Amino acid sequence: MSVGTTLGGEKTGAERRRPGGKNRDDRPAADASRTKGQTLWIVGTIVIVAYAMFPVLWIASLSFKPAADVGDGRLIPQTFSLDNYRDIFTSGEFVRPLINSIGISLITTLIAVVVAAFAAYAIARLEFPGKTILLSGALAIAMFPPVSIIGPLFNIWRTIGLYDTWPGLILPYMTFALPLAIWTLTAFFREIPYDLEEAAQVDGATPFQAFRQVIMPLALPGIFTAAIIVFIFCWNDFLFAISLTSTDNARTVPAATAFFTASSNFINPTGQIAAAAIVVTVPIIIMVLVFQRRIVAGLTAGAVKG
Amino acid sequence: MATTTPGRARPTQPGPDGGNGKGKPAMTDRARAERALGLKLAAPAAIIMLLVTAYPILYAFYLSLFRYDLRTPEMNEFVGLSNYALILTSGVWWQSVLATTIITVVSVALELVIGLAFALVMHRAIFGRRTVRTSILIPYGIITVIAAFAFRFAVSPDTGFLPGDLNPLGNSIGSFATIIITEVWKTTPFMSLLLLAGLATVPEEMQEAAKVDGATAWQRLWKVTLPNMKAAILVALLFRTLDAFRIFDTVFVQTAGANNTQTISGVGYNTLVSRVNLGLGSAVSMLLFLMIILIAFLFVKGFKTNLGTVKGK
Amino acid sequence: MRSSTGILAAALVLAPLAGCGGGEEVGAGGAPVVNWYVGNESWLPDVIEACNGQADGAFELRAASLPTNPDQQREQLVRRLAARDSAIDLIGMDVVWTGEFSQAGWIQPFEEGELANVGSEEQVLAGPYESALYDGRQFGAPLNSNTRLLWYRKSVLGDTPVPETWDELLDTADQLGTRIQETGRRAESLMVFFNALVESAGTSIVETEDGEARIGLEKEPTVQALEIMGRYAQSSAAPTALSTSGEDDNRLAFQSADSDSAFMINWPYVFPSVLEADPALAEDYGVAPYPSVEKGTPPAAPLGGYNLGISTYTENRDAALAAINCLTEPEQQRTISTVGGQPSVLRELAEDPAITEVLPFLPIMTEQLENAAPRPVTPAYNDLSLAVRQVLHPMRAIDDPEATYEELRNLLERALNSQAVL
Repeated sequence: MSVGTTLGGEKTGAERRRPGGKNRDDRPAADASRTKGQTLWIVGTIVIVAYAMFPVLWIASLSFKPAADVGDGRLIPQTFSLDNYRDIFTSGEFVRPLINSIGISLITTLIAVVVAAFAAYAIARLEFPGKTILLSGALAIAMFPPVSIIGPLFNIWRTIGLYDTWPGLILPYMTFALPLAIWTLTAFFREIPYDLEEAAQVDGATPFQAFRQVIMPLALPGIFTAAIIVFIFCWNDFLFAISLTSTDNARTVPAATAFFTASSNFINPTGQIAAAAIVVTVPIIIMVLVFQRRIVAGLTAGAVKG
Repeated sequence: MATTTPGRARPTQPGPDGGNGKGKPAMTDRARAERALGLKLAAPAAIIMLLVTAYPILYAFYLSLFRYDLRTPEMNEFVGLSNYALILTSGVWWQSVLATTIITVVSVALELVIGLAFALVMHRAIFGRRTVRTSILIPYGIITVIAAFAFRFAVSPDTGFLPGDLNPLGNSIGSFATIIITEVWKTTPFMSLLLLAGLATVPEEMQEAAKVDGATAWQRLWKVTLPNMKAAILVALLFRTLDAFRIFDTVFVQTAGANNTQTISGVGYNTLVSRVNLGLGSAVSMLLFLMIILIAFLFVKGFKTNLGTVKGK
Repeated sequence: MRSSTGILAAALVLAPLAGCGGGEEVGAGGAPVVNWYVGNESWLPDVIEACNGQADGAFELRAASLPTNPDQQREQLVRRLAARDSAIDLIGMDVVWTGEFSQAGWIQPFEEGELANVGSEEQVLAGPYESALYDGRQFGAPLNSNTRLLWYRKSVLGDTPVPETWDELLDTADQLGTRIQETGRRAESLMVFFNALVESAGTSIVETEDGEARIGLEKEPTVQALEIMGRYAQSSAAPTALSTSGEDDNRLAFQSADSDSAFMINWPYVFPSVLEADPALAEDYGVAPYPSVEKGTPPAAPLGGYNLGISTYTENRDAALAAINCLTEPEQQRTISTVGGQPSVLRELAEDPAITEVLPFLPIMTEQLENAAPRPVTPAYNDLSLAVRQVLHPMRAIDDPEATYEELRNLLERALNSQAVL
């Protein structure tokens, strides 16, 4: 399925051309059509930014509106209120799920990335039987509909006591976390030049030492990328979370948000949902801002390479 | 990644075979050790994956052969394939197949077009590229449930900004449109990043050559760019189609299946989780599973023919 | 290798610590804790405080909140009970869950004499009492009741007589050029509407013969009920957002100052809420019995409210029982009515002056509760309700009531046997 791209595939045409400078530096040719073209791209840029931001702004706006203004249809709140935030942090319906979400996602990420790192290294570097099956099997599992296994998992979990516990979610999260990590990491390991490892082996290191002392340090950025992506996937899960949990014991934020209670049985908790949405979205946006380049590299690596 | 390696490269010369060879010379001991290490390293991942998917799927198949409703435990019994018969003769099931197909086809098609446009912008943008790439990742990072709420609130009469009595979620077309827009918004970034990677593989020389020959930008897109990124497009389509076909979160939050928008995953969830009818629900799961396999199979077949011709040229 | 399995093992061993639960809890004063799973009601804090105050070490009642939506409440409880969760002691069951929970063995029946206040039909109004029985035994302790009423704006109606039947209601709305607020979204409220109509028309969704449940729904009355639903939804009296509107949407639309709706079918909670929001407007609220299908027949008004059930998996049955006996005392029942606007289940409070002062229409409710049409008490209730929603939503699509009838009947028959895909 290889498209023959490198991990640098995230680089744009402009970026790639820069070092050679073979067609970008003939500046005088900056004619009218090129300016027109540039305007088009700038408009395109603005459209994309607006596209990405709009729903976020709308929900942010709702989160700052007092209950009475929720229906006013304005993007900028008339009165600015933090009540919704105060509500979710004092009602206890949100704080515990937030802890669950963070804990469960982190543990899943940790296990998945460690286990996947070994497997990915083996796939990228070693000859052993079943390698192709493992890689394609992982891909198949990543495409698995989660609804196919919630029934059996529910039945097993309720019998062995894993229902509504952290491991009860961490295990099914492996269905997508492991394949994702294996694919991303395999691509990264393949990028690490063979020479280094061979050199280490010539120096008398065993394959395992070569892995630990040479590959691992070089692969750390890749591992980090895989971790971010796996974390985002765990953070996003909804179906497992609503099917296999039922209380604050293990309920995660997406599930908790969908089941928020309001002051009365018949009133909609719009403001609280909006505030919760912002609280869980802002850290992700910051993470995306900071690690933008890595995430792009990881996403395309996992999917296009192979 | 690639940019960090050269600086760190040790000056030591590569092995005797001088390059990327796999240590071909007969080193049977070494090969055996490598094989053993490979198996050991891969084993935990393989075991976990089998444990969390293969076992439950087999168990789901087993359950699907029973009447197994936790609300009437004394009536549970082996019923063979009759759960499947019940499903395949049910209007609700076919309605959900139709709804899932509509959502999948329309949203993936839109994602392809918009994603390609975005990829072209990102590929060409000189100014603000970082901003574009960061903002396009925002929908990707946002929890699907949250995105679904954002759009639901935006179009609902009591919380939204649509004028007058407009209430998209009150009718079928509006409900499908809202669900599809949400899906497209959330997943186009992923599509466009895959396509961007594909774009980067299109040889710049070919573009320039076409330009010299007087091809318009539109012609270049159709004759040079797209044919050269066929593989990337197919991969992106495969991933998104399989992902879209199991859609659940958005529908659950926005319509809960009303207005004929119930999807296959939704039917499975309702049967398994809200009605704890594990027998019938497992049969729904198995059918969805088979459909996903079928789609993947068709795609892979499509790859082979398509990529074969590309390479043949 | 070793480190990977080590980490995995450590995570699997450590993680359960985060999710411990269940077991016998002991509260502050050494009293056994009774975890009460119930929807969020305005009167909850008051009655819990009152009962804990007089429990004297017999129990400590703690409310555990459930989601806003009754379907989601049920779903959570069902899954946890199927998982034999011992952290649930006391359950606030919507009256319609009683059959399902009893049959599945998730709640325990009450023995003769265990219930001090709500153990017999002498003590409890007929409708609520019937809803607590399954298979001849009492599985639920009626806690509060509820019924839907016809609300109207006195100023708009003027001298026009208050409609008594659905046909009259639709005609009057048409004459006055006004709307009728009623729920139409795909939710339990649709089942509530349908059940009330068929009961009033003279048939029942489920009939039991020799202990064998089957779908009743005689054709003629059912078609009549479906005609009313279709006619309403297609008429100009239906709110534009009927297919997504729920109880609170109706309340807000009716309560707004420039409301285009002079009629509303809704639970009594709308009255305390208008009293709080706009006491002057409350003066304009008129209330009448739930409309019937045929003139002269008693309305078969919807019945809501909670039954309390004791979980099969509790380790505190005695404490839970003591809590029930406290919650059903007249004192607490009065609080539920005055704070929450929901009628009490107790006969002795049927004319209680403290309640009548807040809910002047109490006699109408009592009358309705005596003649209420409980929704079917069957373990398949949830499936039946989903089937009704599946076929009847949106109501405006009921063009051909006879065809709808056939479709509905077929799906309901499958649903009754847990064989419907929904």
